[in-house]
Amino acid sequence: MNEFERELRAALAPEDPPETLAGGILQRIGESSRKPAPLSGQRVFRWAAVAVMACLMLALSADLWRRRQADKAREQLLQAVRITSEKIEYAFHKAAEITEGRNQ
Amino acid sequence: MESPEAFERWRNGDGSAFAEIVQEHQRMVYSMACHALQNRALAAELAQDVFLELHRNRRKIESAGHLKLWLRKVTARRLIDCARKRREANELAGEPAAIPDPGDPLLRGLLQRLVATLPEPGRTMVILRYQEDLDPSEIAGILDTPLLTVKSTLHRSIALLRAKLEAMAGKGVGR
Repeated sequence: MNEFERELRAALAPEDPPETLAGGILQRIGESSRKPAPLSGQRVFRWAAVAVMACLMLALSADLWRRRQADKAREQLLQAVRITSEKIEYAFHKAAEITEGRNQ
Repeated sequence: MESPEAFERWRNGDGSAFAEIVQEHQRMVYSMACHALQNRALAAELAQDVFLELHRNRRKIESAGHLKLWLRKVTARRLIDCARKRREANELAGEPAAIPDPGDPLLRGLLQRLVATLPEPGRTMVILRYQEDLDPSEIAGILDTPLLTVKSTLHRSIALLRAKLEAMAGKGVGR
């Protein structure tokens, strides 16, 4: 090591930190441990994906339920029409029998 | 100087042991930052950030020796990043503000200021070499840089320092 390097070493001798440094570090650590950890970008994305999926599932379930209700209503209507039609047919049949009995 | 006992206690969750670790290493971290930035407030802030990062990464630290290496590595990385940001923001105009320390001999103060003007990563290499007394192979390990690159960068940085010092001496500053 030459003279210049010796001078450089003397110039770069370690310096004492301010007395408040260690206290400041410990204080910041105390503060950071009290605060809830901030959401990272990845975690925000994950939660957003879960929320979107939940909304989609809800929308699909609601649509499916609506379709089932509509099918049920249609079936009930058809059943009612069928019963009505059977009753009318029966009435016509009876009316026809009575008319035929009078003619004979 | 290294305290494996405090390290083990800290690893096992003893918060008070971290205070001992800070006491033990703060001089090294702060001095590296101070020599590079030539600004005591910024150096203290950077040192705080380094120790906070250490606290967050305590599970990754394997031993007391690894702790010291980790601190040097993270401090060096932050100093290089800091210089890059300042350069990008065009803030590195002229020489950095000198630390007012009237007790220093003239040459020592001048060399400190000149080291702070060196381009990175040469500046950090010079600090690791002459403040921390590390040899080039250790610096290469800390900065993840090939040994030959470290040697040539150190050589260039010293030559640059000499040239700057001689130029200033020619203008009547220094010896």
